[in-house]
Parts: sequence; structure tokens; C-alpha cells
Amino acid sequence: MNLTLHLTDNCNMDCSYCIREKCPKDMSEEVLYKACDLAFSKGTRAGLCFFGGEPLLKKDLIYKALDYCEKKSEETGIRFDCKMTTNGTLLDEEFLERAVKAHLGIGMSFDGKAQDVCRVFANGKPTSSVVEEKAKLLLKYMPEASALATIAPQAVPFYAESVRYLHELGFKHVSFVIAYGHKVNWTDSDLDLLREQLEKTAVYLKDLFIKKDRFYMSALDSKISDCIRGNNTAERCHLGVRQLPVTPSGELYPCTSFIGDKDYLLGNVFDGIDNKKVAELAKKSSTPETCKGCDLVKRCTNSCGCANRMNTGNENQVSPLQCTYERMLIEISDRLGEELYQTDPERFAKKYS
Amino acid sequence: MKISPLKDYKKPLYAIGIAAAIAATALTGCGEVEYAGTADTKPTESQVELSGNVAMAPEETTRETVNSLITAGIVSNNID
Repeated sequence: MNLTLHLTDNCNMDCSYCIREKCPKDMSEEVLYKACDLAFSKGTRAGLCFFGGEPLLKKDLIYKALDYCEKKSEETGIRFDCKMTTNGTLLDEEFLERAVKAHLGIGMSFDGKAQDVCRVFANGKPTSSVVEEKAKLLLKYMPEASALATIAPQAVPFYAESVRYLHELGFKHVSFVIAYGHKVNWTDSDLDLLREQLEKTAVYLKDLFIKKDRFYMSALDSKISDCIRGNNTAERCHLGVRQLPVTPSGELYPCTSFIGDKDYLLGNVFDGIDNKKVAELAKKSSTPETCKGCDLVKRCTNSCGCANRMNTGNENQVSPLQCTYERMLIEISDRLGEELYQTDPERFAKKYS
Repeated sequence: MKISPLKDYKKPLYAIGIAAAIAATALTGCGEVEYAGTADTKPTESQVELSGNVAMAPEETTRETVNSLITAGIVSNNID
């Protein structure tokens, strides 16, 4: 099974849109090993995602988890996969060498040209120059590493420029999402500007496609891929079924935004998962009423309980922000998809199918 | 901003076109539509996405296939 390990609640940065409360609480080795055992206890694969806070503040725990799980995988024959989401500021060559050996997938939170708008160090100093250098180091070791950008309203004017910048820096995979939750306040004019920026981004992506430059930008490209494959990305997010976050104290919750809400506590690494509560939660999960008559119901993220909860406080209720944004994304990605398909159908199929 | 369900949405032509190409290849069994072979890059049920937006590595056999295709420039590494 797949677990997201919150190795620490501490972070060396202070991002304006971050919904996690920082505190100096770290995972103990006991919890770590119990969590590893739990990951190997169900299914034919064990997956760990190192998360935080900032997980690289606890490199020692990551090394221990990798050593332990690699050995366990050898002994049991159960496949082990791992990944990490990090702000990148503490990456170094020693860690990256170990990460490459472990096939650790790294996603670097990096807002591109908007980095200093929302993402500053805990002491208030800008992070962009440090993160840019670390991104180059990361790409030297892992050319396929991803950049993960979170766009808050004040970062929207930098959106298209950030896509270009991250591409030029060498990233072949970038993920752009908009910031949700109580720390951000989106307005209609922000969304109008976002539309303009997405249109500019689509032009840039078309240009790269024509130049045969391999680049994948998840906000738009994933909508095209999912449309062809008939996938609905959000359907993967079955709360508490496919993956569980583990808090530093070993508690299990359905998803990151539910951490701390005891009504959603699904067990702990010592006593295991409360399957009855997981089943109850699954039973409660439903398509939002407001989305049932919409033709895009299978193409948008209305079923993402985590996003819904962040925006409306209810995992089964979608927000006007999300609806507006998703419709915008689908419209622009469909138009981009048609243009690319007309340009070169065979290469289009290779990229997206 | 508001919640407004969309009606009369038309599935884009690119999606219809690709699906038709794959179906045609499956029916004839020929290799003429080269890109139809990339259908095996679709993740299986067991290839689960963890939180944090980073794709996990797919099953070994699929990963080898995908890596060879990526190396050859045939597909992009967009398994997520």
C-alpha cells in the first residue's frame, strides 16, 4: 500500500499559501519503521512518499527508510517505490546520489518566476536564487525530475513566464496547480488574468510541440491525455483507499488536508487501519450535487475530496472557484489539443495516448 | 465565478481521432499506425498516484518499455 510520510511538521520556508501549521514535531524512528511495515503489509507493492513540512530537514529518516524498505523488498519480493516532494533548498550531492540509487522520484516545489512572491525562507528572505541553483543540481542527477508550481492569485501575472522559465532551466515535466484553501482569496479579475496566462501558455506549448521539444505541462497536457485515455485524474483520489498520510506521531488520515480532524482519523501505524471507518468514508463519497448534470463531470476534479474540503469545508461539495478554473482548463486544453492534432496527428498520438 | 454545469459539450475531435486509430489497429492487427503501440504506457490499476503530484514508477515491465520508448523519442514520460 502507499503511505505519505509527514517526516516533520517543521519547514525552513514560510509560503504564503501553505495550509500546514509549522511546529517542531518530527517523526520518531519507531513510527517510521512501523509505517514502513504497514506499507509492506497490504498488496503487491509498497509505496512511500516523503513529505512534510520539509522532508529534507529529516534526511536521516529518509536514509533509514530507504535502507529498511530496500532490504524488506529483497526479503519479501514486494516491489518498493518511493518519491518525495521537497522545496529543494537542502538538496546536496550526497543525498542525490543515494536518491538515484533508490530510484527516488523527486518533485521540487518551485513557482518559477513567482518564487519570491509567495515562497520565502522562514526569516523572510527570498528563495529564488538558492532554489534555481538547487534545481540545476537536481536536474544534473535526475533529468526527469518534476517542478511543482502552485499559483496563488498574486503569482498569476507570472504564470506563462514561469512555464517558459522552468522549461528553459531544463525541466521536462512541470505541474502547475492553483492554490486552494483559506490562505488565498481569488477574485473574478484574477481568474480573467489566469485565462490570459493559460492562453499564452498554450501558445508556448504549441511552439514547443512544433519544434519537437519534449515537454509536459500537467495543467494542460494532462487534460488532453486524460481525455484521450478516458481517465478522470480525480478518480484516483479515493480518500483513504489508495494512499494514506502518516503524521509524525503515526496517525493515519484520508488525505493531507484532513490531518488533525479526529472525525477522519483512520487508525495509526501501531494498531493498523480502521477498515470500518475507511469503508464508511468511501460510502459517504459522492459526486457533488451541483456537478451531476454537467457534461464535464468526468473530466474535472470535482471528486477530489481534498480540494473540495479546502475550498468548501465539505469533501463532497465543489467550489465556484474550482468549477470556473476547471472549465477554463478544459476549454483551453481542448483547443490546444485540436491544434496539435491538426499539426501532426501521429506525433500528437505518441505524446498523449 | 460560479458553478455552472455545461451542456451539449462535444468531445474534441482529437480524442475521437486517436480512439478510432487505435481501434482500427486493434481490428486489423497491423503495425501501420505505429503510435497505437504506446497504449501499453497507460498505467495499470496497481500504479497508484501518491499525494504530492509526483508520479510513482510504473510496474517494472511497463517502465522498461516506457523508458525504451522515451529513449527512442517515441513517447513522452507522461505516465501520471
